[in-house]
Amino acid sequence: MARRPSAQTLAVLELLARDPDTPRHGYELGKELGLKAGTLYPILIRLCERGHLAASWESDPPAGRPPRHLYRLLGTGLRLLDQAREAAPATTSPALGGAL
Amino acid sequence: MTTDFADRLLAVAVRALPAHRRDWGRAMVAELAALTDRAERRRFARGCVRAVAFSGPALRATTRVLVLLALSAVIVVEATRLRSVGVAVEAVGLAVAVLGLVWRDSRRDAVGPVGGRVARQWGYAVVLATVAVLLTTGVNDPSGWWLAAAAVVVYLAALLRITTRRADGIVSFPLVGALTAAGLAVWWVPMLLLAAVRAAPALTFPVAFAVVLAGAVLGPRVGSRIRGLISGLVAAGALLLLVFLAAVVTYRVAPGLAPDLFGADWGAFPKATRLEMNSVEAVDPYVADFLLGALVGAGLIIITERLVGRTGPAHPR
Repeated sequence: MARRPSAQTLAVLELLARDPDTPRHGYELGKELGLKAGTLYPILIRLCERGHLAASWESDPPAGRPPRHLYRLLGTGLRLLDQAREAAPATTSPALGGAL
Repeated sequence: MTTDFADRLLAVAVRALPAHRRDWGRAMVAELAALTDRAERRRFARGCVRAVAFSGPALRATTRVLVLLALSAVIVVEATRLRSVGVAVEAVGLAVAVLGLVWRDSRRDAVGPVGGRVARQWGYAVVLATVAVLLTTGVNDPSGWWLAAAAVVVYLAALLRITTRRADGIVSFPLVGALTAAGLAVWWVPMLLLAAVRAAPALTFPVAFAVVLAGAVLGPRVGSRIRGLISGLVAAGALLLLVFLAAVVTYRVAPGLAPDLFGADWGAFPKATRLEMNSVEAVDPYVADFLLGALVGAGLIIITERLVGRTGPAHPR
């Protein structure tokens, strides 16, 4: 049986699920969720490697700045979030600033 | 454009990422480049360092460094205790070669990236057991020790070569595991039970040959006859090394099983001395298995080099 995703992982999925068609970059996600890079990047790496998120490079970065990674929720990520919601519908994490 | 502490810190950290995660390092660097507040930049860089340091690959790399350092210390300490200076120098040389090869284990070149990770880990365990056996067996006799050390290096090089991702298509590790286990059981169980088998150490050669043949016969089940044949050769090389180790362990644990090579001529010697002499003599023929296995390993290095080359995977049909 697959392990239940952590509260922080679910928060990332939840935030991306609010507007699945709009890709978000990492710093923005961390800022909104109150997650530091040390917590956020392992989550993003794991979700991408398991096929729940798609990462792409910014296509038109401002001059003098390298393109950033943009993250978008995929169908499997949405299903993972749905399963987690069904398993524990009332789960929220105050530490995440009400992100859930 | 000027660089600050955060840039330098992150640049060092992302170098520790494995090749398949280099893009994540670029992503972190790009995010940092978009931040302007110095305190925020430092905070972000520190977070990224933590993400890199506690990621699985980085932890594994750290563990490997610690294990290699501990192993080097043990080998050097053991080598300095040896009575023969020549063997001590050869033992340290062996340690340097083994650790150098293990150090290169995940590089993207002739020995990496790793394909058969489980096979490689088993191989490491067997090779290190061989080093331990060599360091505690016959180390007072300098003649021939260099050959044994060279054989270990060849075994290790062959192991690294055939467990690369690029060699995935030419070796079936499940078949190698099954053939090696079967071959070892076919020889070792009767050897433990029957004096006649212990008296005929050359029986291991037909068993190794049968393993190669079995690989070729079973080849079509794992993709092709050539794949089966190469898997059989890998299994034969592993089997010959394991036979040597099994013989050493058997006669060390149960010296009474060693054939009595001296009979009444040694009646005047104490029983313990006779047992020790018998077990030393009983292991001797198996050195041929050890060296023959290394030759098979050398052959495998050449074969995989031909089939895989340096450009891409091979899938012989």
